[in-house]
Amino acid sequence: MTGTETRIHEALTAVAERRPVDVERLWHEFQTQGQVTARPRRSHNQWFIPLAAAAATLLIIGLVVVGRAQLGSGRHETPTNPGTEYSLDQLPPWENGATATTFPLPEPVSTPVVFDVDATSAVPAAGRWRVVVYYAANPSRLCVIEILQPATGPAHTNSIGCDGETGYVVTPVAQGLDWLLGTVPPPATKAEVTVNGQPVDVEVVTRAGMPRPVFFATLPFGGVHSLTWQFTDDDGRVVAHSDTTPKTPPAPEQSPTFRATPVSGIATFDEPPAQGAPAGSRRILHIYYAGSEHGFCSDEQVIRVGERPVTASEDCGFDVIGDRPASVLQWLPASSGGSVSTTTFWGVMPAGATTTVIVTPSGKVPVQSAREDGMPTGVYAGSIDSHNTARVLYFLDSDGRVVAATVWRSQF
Amino acid sequence: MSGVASRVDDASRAPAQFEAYYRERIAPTVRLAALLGCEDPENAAQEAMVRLHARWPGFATNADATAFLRRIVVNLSRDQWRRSQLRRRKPRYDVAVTATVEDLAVVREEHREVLAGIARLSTRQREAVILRYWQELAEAEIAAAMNTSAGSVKTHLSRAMRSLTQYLEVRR
Repeated sequence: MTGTETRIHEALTAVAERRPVDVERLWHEFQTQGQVTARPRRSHNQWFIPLAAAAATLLIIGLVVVGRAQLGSGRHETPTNPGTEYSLDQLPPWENGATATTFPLPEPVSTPVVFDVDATSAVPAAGRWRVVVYYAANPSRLCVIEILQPATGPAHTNSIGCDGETGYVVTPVAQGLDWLLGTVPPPATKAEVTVNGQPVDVEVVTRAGMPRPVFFATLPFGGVHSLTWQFTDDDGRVVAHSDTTPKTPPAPEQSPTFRATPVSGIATFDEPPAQGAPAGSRRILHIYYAGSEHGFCSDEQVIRVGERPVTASEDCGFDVIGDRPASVLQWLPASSGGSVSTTTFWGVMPAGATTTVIVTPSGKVPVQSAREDGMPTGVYAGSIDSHNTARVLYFLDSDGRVVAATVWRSQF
Repeated sequence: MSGVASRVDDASRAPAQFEAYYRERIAPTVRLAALLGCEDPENAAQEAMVRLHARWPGFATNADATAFLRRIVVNLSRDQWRRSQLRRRKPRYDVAVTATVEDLAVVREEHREVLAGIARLSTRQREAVILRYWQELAEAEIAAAMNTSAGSVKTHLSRAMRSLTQYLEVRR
């Protein structure tokens, strides 16, 4: 190995091996409940799994019902905004200079179609967000590639996959703006999608080489609580439909449950609500100690008015050396509510420190700190503008003397 | 939910072998998912194990099963990555600094620099680097995990190393 390769190996190994894995607990979860029911705290699973199951059902319906190609059949065309058709040598450039005809997924047998996601509120600096959909052959599969094009710099290409494996219909609706796509099962010619009971625009297109039409809809950012879709034929008969995705029942007051048992008091910090969140929405960060096995833990909850609190992220145990809490710095992107403009810092203060100060190029940032019963040292949390690419954290004692300091550069 | 339960029940065809395999591979799988940037590595690893379990009788060797497992984890991480791109988020490598900043921070600074460089790579380049330099896989194995060709893996690794070397040199 070269020197750089050795450094890479050592850094990755250091990070990987410091992650504790409780094999017994995982095996128990696997045996008793499966991974989905065992870990219900992840908000996207609550939505994604039933949606994925429904999507798989749709796929089966489509494959069984259709056995014949309907290439270019005009009766499927109900375009409201029918995407952009490309021949293979006209496709937008892929990431890092790859040629337009180099597909990171199986080669297409149909003309690709590019949908523009209405993402003006989610893609900063007037970037573009496009989704390329095409069919690959043997067996016929719908493949999806996503391209995020910032206003400056190279595009980011994500190979979502082909049907069945990673993304026949992908809708992480609990996480924010996204899109819904799939095939229209014949003899249906129209697709209808509702979000929170309201219909949204759906594009239905067919291109040369496509055995079935494709539908596409942009979903609103951060506000999808229920989602349905159905397919109808020219006479309005329903060919296939989804079950209504259950709306999260209102339960605004609910005690949080934690991943590890707290052995200390729980510090509670209010974070800035996400952009576009309804009035009264809250984001709450809990920090607590969970003993030498887990170290200190965080639990970030998002509470929207009239809804059950959703745990957006949890962490435990990554910053313990022996039985000593070792971290002076952690960070959480303020992502759970859809905000792309703030980052929440939180962590454990070193021994002797009572106050934390974050200094960025934009100035000093307010930081909350607390030391609850049973905490060996205090904890802190503060939210800053993500565009501040460098921050210095100072930890001060009760006399205002610097106990420790560290520099953090953004990885955004 | 019932689908998951039924798949787990099916595993009783070879429970002892699968349990031994699970116990041996779950930790590396969680760690691979973490390095690839999965928001919930344990959940991703469990999901991969459930999928593997459904096909368990079809694998002739544990090596075949492991190759399949790696591929699932890579796919799951890409799926999460697609979502995380909404937030312009890079993988979060939890590198502790220290309570006594002065001692360990310096040691770990180098790791942090390397990890920051890895986080800046494209998804495919990062996958290739992690599979090559952490899992120490051959190019053919990496290609299988990434569902691509060995030639593409070479290209990804070459570009990644060039990018990383430049990044690290600038920070010297």
